[in-house]
Amino acid sequence: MARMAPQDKEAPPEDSVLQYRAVISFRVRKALGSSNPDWEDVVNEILTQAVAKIKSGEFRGDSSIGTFLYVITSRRIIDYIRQKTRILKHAPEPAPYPDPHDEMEHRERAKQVEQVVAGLKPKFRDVLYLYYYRELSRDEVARALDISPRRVSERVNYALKLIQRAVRK
Amino acid sequence: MKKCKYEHYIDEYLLDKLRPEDQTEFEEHYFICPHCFAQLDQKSEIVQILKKEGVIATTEEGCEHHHRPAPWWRGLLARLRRRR
Repeated sequence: MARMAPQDKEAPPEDSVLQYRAVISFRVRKALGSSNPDWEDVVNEILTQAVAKIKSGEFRGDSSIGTFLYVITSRRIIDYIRQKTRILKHAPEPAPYPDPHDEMEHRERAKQVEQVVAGLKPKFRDVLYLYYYRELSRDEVARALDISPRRVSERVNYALKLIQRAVRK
Repeated sequence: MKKCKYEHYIDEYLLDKLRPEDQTEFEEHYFICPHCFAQLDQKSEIVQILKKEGVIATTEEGCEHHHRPAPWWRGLLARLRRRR
């Protein structure tokens, strides 16, 4: 699941931009929803647009390439949402079909997470339950369990580390 | 690895709890911070599983056919709601 994040380097525009595919994809999926089938097309449009802008000299290096790509990505997301809002006013689209392979992997990981959570001591499970499932704030969890907010963070981080280790195998 | 000052935004970002201005700031930041992006990417799916699939609630109750929180949680949540 972990991927290397981009680094700014002197390289041809295509190479520099492609290093950001993962981060752009993450941002687009977060904004559009992972099950939206358009996300990959939107990412490709952003990458193409960014390369074209760099080639035409629009990127002058005043900011980092990461910031430049962030701006292009954010604008494209706003355009996409505006466009969809207009279309949806006239005709609703059918629900997207999830990729069966992705679905299977996701289910497998969900099972692994569930197993780790089931094996946790109650004090760690309680914190995960209140913080992630019930979506209480860190301070609220601390008050509810009568521990400090710092202790809440420690327990959350410890439990997540165990889960990450199990899922990575 | 050295901790980034934005790292504490990660959980709240994934849970959609950040204020809009902090969300924008963090989104701009993780485009230029490989450390935060790696953390974000790793945590993202796990948080989705914990958040949406009731994994923790189910195990807490010890019975997969029973999806309501255990009684002591109900009391606790009611108390928190009153405090909010």
